[in-house]
Amino acid sequence: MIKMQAFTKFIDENINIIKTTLNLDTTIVYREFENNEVDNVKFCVIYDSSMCKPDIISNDIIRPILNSKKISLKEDTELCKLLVKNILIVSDYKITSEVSKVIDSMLEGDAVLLVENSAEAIILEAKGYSKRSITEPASQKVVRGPREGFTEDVDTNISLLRRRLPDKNFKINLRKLGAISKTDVALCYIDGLVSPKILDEVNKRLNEIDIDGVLESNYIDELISDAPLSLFRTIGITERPDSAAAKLLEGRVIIICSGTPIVLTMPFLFIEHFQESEDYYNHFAVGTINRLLRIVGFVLSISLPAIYLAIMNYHQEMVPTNLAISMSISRSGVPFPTFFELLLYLFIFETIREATSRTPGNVGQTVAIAGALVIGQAAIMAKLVSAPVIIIVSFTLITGFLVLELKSAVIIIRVIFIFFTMILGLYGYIFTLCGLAFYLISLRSFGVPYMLDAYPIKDEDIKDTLIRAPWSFMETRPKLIGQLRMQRKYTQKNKTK
Amino acid sequence: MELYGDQTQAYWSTTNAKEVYSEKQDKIVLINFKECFQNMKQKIIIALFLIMIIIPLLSNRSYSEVEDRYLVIGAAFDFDFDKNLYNITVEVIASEDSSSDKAITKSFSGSGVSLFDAIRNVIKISGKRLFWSHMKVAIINKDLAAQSIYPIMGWINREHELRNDALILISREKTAKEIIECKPSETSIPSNVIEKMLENNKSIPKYPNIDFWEFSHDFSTSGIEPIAPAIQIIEVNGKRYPQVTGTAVFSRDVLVGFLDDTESMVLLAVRNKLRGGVLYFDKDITNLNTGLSLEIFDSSTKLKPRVEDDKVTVEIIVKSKLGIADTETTLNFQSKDVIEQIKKTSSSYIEKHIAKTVKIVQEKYKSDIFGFGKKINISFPSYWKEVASDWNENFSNLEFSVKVDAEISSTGLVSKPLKKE
Repeated sequence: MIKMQAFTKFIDENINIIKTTLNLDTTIVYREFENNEVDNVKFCVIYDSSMCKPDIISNDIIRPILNSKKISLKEDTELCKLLVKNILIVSDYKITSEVSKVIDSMLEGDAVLLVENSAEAIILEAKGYSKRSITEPASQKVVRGPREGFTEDVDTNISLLRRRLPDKNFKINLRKLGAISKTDVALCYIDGLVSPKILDEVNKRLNEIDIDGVLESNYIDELISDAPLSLFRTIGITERPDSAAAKLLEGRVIIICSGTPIVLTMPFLFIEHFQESEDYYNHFAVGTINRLLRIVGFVLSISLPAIYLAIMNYHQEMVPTNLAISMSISRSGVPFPTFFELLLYLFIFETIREATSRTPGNVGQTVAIAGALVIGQAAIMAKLVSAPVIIIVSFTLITGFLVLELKSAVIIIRVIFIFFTMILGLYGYIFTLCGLAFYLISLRSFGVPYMLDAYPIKDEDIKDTLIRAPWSFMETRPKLIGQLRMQRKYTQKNKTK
Repeated sequence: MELYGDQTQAYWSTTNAKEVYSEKQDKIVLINFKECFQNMKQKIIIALFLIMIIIPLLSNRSYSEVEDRYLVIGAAFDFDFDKNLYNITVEVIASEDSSSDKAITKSFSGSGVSLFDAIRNVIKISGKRLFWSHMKVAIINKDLAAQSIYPIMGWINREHELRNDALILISREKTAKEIIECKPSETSIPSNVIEKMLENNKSIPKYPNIDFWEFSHDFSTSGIEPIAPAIQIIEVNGKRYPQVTGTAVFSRDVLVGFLDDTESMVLLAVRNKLRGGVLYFDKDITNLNTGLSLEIFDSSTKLKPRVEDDKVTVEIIVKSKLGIADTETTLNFQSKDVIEQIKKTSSSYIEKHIAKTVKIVQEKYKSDIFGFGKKINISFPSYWKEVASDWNENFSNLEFSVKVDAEISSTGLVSKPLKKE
């Protein structure tokens, strides 16, 4: 690597230093100009045309300097100070003599002003690239509740949170991650609610990250997660500012990553998979029913094919006679064993799902029709597969969509369940279920047991886990995570913790 | 010893059990999150090793596809006395023959020197093995039953696939096979129809509803003898239908005879199994210038044995709730006298029939199908020990009395007789 030169007092040389560093970059504009009143005082504004707003450059930087009557050739940094104090109309500035800093901030969208007879450069805030506007998040739609979703821009996202939590204790730590990508990452928490131990751990793990680029928050997720290889994520994700704010209020830490609307929340418990923000905006009974549906849906989507397989292959005596009769009729003439049928159809349906999730609307419809009609209907007629298998697999797929975040885990666990059930029947199913339970209980998220409150023992624990209690009953924050200040109420005097 | 005792005492007195629990639960335990990468290889090897051990240990032989075996829903047991061979006929769901989703059945027969041999010989014809868990009815030939029902009951109790709630019937035809093959139409399933007939015997108590469990319980309990519903074929408009009627009476493992419809009803009443049914009295019996039929809503029976001077008597106390179902002509049931009359008639009618039937069983069959002995065993165990050895002989000389308390609780939806004022 070429050793960075230092700035000199001669502007032409300084321009040359930047030009040689960025020698092939043609988007960089070098605009040289002089003041109208005084001769021989040269200025040069250098900026990346793709990242800056031309308005700011021309109106707020060049025009004031051109028209100013105060400018004269001064010693060293005097002129720079005068410029930022009295002439330039720019919101933020920085004076520096480090070439590397100047180049870095220029590439991030700032303008650099070089001044005659000064070994320092002024970095001026002039960012002006196009951002996506705030829209409703695609993956977490609600019928009742705010329609705002996070965007790819960190500043916009922070503003969305600030508007919800205008409190002095709401802290945001900005940092950059990625040696090349230099991604803005904001660590947010509410001081006084967050457990210092957890916060320290998050900071420690973030500091250990050493990677060239962070293009999505999942990069961070996998690098700081307790169980990076696990199918179950131990760090939560959300696209909704309201849900992120709620997590902050429970004493969690959130990480906003530039370039993605997906925000990380931690520590993350298993039960949070089933808590949707809409639960809290609807009547609590509706919220509770929906939550129970999601839990039942998860259990069904991992175990339904396995239980069907067990009954068909090992425990035909367990079903009512009429069902046994219709099952045996539907199976007659089908060439494959049941487990192969199930795996084949899971494969076909997952293929259809994957195909439709990437294709644009009208093409996606074609795939769906081909999948549903041709593969579904025709396969039964051709006796390639029995009708109950299609019903089971389709229902399994639908229940799998109840909890989108668990989808990837469900797809694989389902197959593991089928495999062991094929060998051992219902015993295999139960053993696998036990194994899954042991595994989940062994997981931790930033020191907090992953299955905390997933199996409530006390009455209090059930309030925001299996059911969604009315707000007047939810007086405490989650255990361990909100330990610092368990009571949600502020006006009333705290009872004993 | 003492020292240790003291220490434990001290430990438990200072630490509350709940505290220990909460300390363990509510602690944020931070582990180095990169630790999971270490020991990974070791863990995988251990996991694979465990799986390799477990799978052969738990290997399950019972894997089979549902269409690889015939679903047996009914079976008929016969005995060929000329060749000394058991004949078994099973009704199975013919899943491969059904073009639509409607179930049709077919039957296969097999014969062999023993029952199980005969069952396995069915495969000679059917090709597939039989799956017995969904069997609903077992029909046993009356000649086979008259010889001994023991081989069949023995097999039923041993076979793990059979369910104890399958129903048992005795065929009054020449063979049991013809009943299970008696299909009034192409798509009818005789086993299902017979099962429904027995299931609904609450409304028509002219035959009992006996499953394997009850039969083998009666079979193996002293003081009560097993019974089973009897089945025959009737012809209606040139078509043959299976019909359940009457009761087969057993003495130990041997069929000794049959009871007709009315006697079966009495039998059920004494066994305290009567929960419905119809009583009909004609004009002469009622003294009300109309014949009428009463519906039995509920009935309960108590057997009260009494021992006096080494002689036992059993009192049969019946309490029935009846309702007027139909009358032949106008009946003024608003009058108290009429109701009293009906009560009296029905009480004496039931009394008379119970006495008659018990006498018949005592004299003709000498088999305690009513369970008097069981009751005596409960009330007077020491007396029972004396008489248990030749109970059926004692039973035929047993003295009994009948007391019936009939209550007319309903007259149907009408409150006034249907007539012109």
